[in-house]
Amino acid sequence: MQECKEIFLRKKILLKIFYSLLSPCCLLFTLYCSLLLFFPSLSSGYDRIISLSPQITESIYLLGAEDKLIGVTTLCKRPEEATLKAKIGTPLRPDIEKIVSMKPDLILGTREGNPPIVMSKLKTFDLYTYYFSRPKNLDDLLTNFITIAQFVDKEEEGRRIVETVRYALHRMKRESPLRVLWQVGANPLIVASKMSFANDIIKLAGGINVIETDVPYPRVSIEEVVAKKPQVIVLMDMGYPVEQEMTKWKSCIDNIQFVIMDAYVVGSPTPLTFLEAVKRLVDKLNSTNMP
Amino acid sequence: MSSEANKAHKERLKKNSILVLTILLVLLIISILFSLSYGKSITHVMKSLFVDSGIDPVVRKVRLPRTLMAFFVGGSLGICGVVLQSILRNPLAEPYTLGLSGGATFGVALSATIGLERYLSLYANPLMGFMGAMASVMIIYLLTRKKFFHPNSMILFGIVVSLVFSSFVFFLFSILDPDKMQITLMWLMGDLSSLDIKLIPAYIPMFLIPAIIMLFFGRELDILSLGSEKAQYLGVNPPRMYRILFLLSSIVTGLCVSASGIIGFVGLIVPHILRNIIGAGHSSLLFASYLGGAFFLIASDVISRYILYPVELPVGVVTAMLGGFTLLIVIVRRT
Repeated sequence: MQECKEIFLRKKILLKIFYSLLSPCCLLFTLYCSLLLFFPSLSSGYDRIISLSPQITESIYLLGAEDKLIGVTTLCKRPEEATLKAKIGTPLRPDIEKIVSMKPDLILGTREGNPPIVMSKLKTFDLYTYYFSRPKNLDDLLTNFITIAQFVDKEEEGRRIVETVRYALHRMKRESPLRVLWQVGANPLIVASKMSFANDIIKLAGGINVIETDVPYPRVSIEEVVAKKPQVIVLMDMGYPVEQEMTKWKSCIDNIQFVIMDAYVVGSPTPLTFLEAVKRLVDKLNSTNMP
Repeated sequence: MSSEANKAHKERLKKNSILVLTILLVLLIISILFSLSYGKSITHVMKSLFVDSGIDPVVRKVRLPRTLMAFFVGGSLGICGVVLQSILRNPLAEPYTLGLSGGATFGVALSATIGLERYLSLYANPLMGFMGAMASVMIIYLLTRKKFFHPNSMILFGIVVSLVFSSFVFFLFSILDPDKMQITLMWLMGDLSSLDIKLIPAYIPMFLIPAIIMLFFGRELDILSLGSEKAQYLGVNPPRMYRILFLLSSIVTGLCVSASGIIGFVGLIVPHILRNIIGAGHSSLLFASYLGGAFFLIASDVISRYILYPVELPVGVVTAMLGGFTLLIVIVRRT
């Protein structure tokens, strides 16, 4: 009798332990399901994605998830294969009709590059849209990249690329810091300040940005630039004649050196284009012998 | 003989105007159907509009709102063009001659600079565009009041106010973030899909009421076109009439700018061509210009949507190109 009681008690204790373990598991499972329901970004499995920004398109290709991309803008030209994807218009004027007819399950855009009315109109069709903010520095760029990787179910690959870029940046050898001017526009003369995204490239390359205003891309005069005594000028392939600019600066500043960058480095950067840009600037700064 | 010739001329103009109004109405209906059903069958469009909106939400949520906006904005600009060409006694006057576009541009640029969209969301541009246009109207009103709304002083002050606002706009653009500037410029180039769908039911009566009032001023405009002195003898008070018509047309133009940005040439070319065909009688000219303006803008919108598909051109660019060439042909033929 005593033995029976003991067995019964033991069973009871085991059951209690079992239930006490089961209930938190149930609770966690319910919580996870509701999170998936209310925050679809946590769930992967998007396989009909439309990109409204060249930067997002390039990142998706970089992650090797281009098969999930069904539509891009007419400005998405990198990599070259992206031009073969169906076009949905320009980032400023995407064709809502075409987007809706393509039945995407995710639309990715940027807050600064796509007008708010586009986002609002797409929402009326119950389409899931996600808008990134333009990166202000390397950390923003890498965070956006990881989010894109999560959307295309390539988080591991994304983190690997991010780690590789961070490691490569860490390993770069910088010599004595030089004074750098990053020219964005020629007429009017627009340059990148310490508040700009380009400043991170200068900083990580071991240079010193000579423009210190609070406006990210201020207009300045030639006189002001000459007074700042830059030693290297970064020129961008952004529609202005680079050769002409080089001649102009050479006539104003002695021993000035130049680095020519592609427009996408600042316009639509990815972790790899960022790394390339820093590497190019580091090489130039290291090879420049200044008194 | 001369009176018989006059009578025959009037008869011909009357017949012309009936014919032109009928043609315009038919063209308008065709353009509306084309705008709604491009690439789809008309029965499919009708079903999704009147039977089941779920069949094709694109028709109801994208095509119908922009066709409606093109109809009301085009018609309103056409009618404002007639009124302003008449009260300013200048065939090259248009709704933006009096500096409204400058004021509206300033309003929108200011909104982008101070980041008003954070507080007013999608209503920031329409609201600031309208307020900017109204600010320039008030300035011109106060400046020309003492000159009894003399046409020449109104044009002169309009140009000056427009130039002053333009200089402010250039200042704001020079300090504005390049992304915001690009979005603002695109909005200003004319876009019939930029208005939030929820706002359209509120805009329709605001467009219609002043336009309907202006349609009944045909007789007064006929008398005013004879000159202020003769108009006074015929029982019309020119300064009062100028004031009423100027304010009505300015409000309607301000609404057009706030709904769709700056769409040029509609208010210039449509009344100009129609006056040549049906004569200067304002009663029929006002109706014809409403229908003509609506047709011209709907047709331009269809062209802007599909000429470089899937890239969509700003509708203001298409109206400027079509209108510019047409005006050039009209002037060359006349000279």
